[in-house]
Amino acid sequence: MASEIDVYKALSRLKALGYQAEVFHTRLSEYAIEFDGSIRSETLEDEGYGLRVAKDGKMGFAYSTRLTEELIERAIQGWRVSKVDEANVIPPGESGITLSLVKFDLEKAIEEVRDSFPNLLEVPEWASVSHAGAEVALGEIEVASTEGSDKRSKATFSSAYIEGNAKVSSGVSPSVHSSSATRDLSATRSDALKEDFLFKLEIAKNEVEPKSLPSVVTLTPEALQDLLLPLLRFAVSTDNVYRKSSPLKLGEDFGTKFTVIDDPTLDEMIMSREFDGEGLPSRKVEIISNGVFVRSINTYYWARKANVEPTHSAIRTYATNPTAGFSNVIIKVKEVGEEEGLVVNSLRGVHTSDFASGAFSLSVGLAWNPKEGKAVKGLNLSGTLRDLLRGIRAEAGDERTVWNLKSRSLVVEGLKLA
Amino acid sequence: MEEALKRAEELGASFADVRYTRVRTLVLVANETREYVESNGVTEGALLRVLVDGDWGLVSLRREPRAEDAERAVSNALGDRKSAVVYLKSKKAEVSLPLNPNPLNFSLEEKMKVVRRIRDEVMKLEGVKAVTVSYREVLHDKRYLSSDSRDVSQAYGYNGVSVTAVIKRGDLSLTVFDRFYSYKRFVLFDVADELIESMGRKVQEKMRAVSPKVGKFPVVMAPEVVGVFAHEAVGHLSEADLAVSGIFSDKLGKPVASEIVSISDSPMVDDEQAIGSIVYDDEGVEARKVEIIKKGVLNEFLNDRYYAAYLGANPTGNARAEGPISRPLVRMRNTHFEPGDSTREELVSEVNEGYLLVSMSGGQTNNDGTFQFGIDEAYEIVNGEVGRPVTFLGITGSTLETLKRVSGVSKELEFSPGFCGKMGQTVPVSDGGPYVRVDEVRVGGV
Repeated sequence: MASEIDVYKALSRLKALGYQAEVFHTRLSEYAIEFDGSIRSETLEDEGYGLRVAKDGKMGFAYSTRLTEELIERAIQGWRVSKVDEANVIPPGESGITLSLVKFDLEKAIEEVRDSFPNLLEVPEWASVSHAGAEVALGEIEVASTEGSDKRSKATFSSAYIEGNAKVSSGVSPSVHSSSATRDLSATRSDALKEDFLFKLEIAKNEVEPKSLPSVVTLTPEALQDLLLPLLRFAVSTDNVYRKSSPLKLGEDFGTKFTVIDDPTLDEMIMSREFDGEGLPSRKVEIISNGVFVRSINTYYWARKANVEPTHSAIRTYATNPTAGFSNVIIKVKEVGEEEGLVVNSLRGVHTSDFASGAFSLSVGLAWNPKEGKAVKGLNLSGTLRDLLRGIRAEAGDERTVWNLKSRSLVVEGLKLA
Repeated sequence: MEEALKRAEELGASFADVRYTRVRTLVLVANETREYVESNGVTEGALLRVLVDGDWGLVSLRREPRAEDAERAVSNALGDRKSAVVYLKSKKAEVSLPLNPNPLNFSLEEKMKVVRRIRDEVMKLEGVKAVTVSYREVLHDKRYLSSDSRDVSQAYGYNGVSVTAVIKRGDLSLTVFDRFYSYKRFVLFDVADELIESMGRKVQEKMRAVSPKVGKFPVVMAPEVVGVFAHEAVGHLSEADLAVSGIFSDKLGKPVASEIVSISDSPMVDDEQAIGSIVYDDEGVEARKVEIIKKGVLNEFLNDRYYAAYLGANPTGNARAEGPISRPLVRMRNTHFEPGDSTREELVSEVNEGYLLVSMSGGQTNNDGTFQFGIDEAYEIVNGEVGRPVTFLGITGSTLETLKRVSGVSKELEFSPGFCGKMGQTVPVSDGGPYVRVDEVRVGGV
């Protein structure tokens, strides 16, 4: 087995060879408990290193669970086949912001989750839990480079989910799913999660055929998380805009006064961070301002390539190159209205969409008529990302946080229900 | 590893196992602006599981487990004391399914040269504005040890190329995709011309495609789409962890489909694109064929050691884990419709107004028995003839209703490679089948 070397020693060695270099090092300690008929309880220790090297306009990348000479050699091998491109450089070190992201003690949290998990599985007799889980974790990230970056950060994370059916006369209702994720331990404290699960089950157990198909839908934050965020992330990435692979155009006006902001600085939210995946200090970025697509999000490479301002939006694991991604997304609409048409709470299969055109045609998981509170079954929702953005009429209901999205429900016209 | 198992048994574990895995991954990418190594890595790690008084405790870590890790796993054990596993006869086996020739014998420069050539040729096609070509090779080395004396070492892998092009037609952007993978041979040098030609045809069709109608129509599904249907709409619902609470839970031995429908999950398929092929699963179980639906009747579920015990069934060898520290889940391997006795032409000729669905952009199923597929290559069928290509459509429906509406199955059997996601883990699989006609499916389009 090859011996491991120190991060700084690896950087010094590469610098002596004339390379710029960057080590992205992560360590994760996690405890998870899951139920799917039986209960499993697991601790996980993960650690890995991603190494980028750059010289003469070429970039190489390799990763491993151990930092060894072999990793350095493989990164240099990769550098050799890279195309020359002046945007290929390791980002400079920049001082940044400080956030308080460690919200609990992991060992105490493990004890609490082990004690509280059985409570999550206790539901009324008319309901049944098929799957449930809870996890607590402490992650550490280090980004060090020959260019002056030397960042370290720790953050805690907790999440929980519950899935199941209601017993109905014909058998079981459609399954419903509720989940929650927070930096502190509130996600694993089961009352709110169970309340949401039972609320959805009450609706799902009264499922009816649609009488008519409205021209308006109200997309809850859960549905926006399912549909809007994946399509929008693709569309507003600088690489896709630059490569003409985005369905949207910078400067495009969607005609409605709404705003989409990516904000990694909100320390209570799940994707908050002090620096991005390239060690660059976190920035709040207004992507859509008063209905106009004003800024795309990027990695350092794509900011240089497209000659736009860096947004410090790199996300990655040690095993991947940086790509542009959302941190925490905040949506606000100027017009406030009421839930209308059909309330859509979950949509399935967004990965089957055509991301370049923004076209989607998805099965509706859970949707209900807001007046009767009964689930409507067997529906398909189709349209394009542009249809969706142009169709936003108002926001409705309470503002809620669903994973990395903070938003009210959006009332949207112009999508097709079938 | 032996030390950890021994310590677990000393601490009262009625069953313990450990899997140590080393995975080597290489991904080369060329698009119209960049050529680079997307991934070039080695990950190693182990998963140790213990069953103590009917409760599971697990430890995942990036090294071989030691005695103290068994102590941690035992202290983790928690539950309702109802878990059990099927015990197996002792077995020592070494399995090797090498890629031939070995891709490691070729340099990154040689591989990138071909990736670049595919990119350059596809970029020349009319309408293409962006293209991404990815070459991926993944090589696994695993050793599985258990307290019931299983000692199984396996080495296998797969490699392949995928091509995605974005074309512009006025304001409309559309995606065209193709790929070729193999678990038997190093394919990069051999399949480049085939992929370039296939992309040329697909781009031409997309450039003249029309929007589909929205509504309910009869469809003829080509092997790739049939395979994904078998995988998404039937295979997932037959995975024991989902089956016990899903729509199949009370239907074993009962008719769930038209009598001409038989669907299986096979561990080894001769077709080289069947990249879900395995000999042993990640619990050291011999992988065997599972006849999920046999002549319309729900026959058997896919299981792991736990669900085999829970259901009183024979183990099927469907426990698979994505990576070194992932826990095994009940997963498919190569899932397929069994062939019938019609021809493709006969199936199409009996459709007055409908669609021929050729290839997929992805699919999803749900435990309530509904499914959703994105179709990226499809054609109108008008008066029994295949007509114009359509831009993009999605089909949705109820699995049980759709299975009962199958009215024709052709003689072919073709497999397509894929990657299946479940509970945060992705594993290579393949899906296959003949041409299949369904009398009514809900179509949504844009």
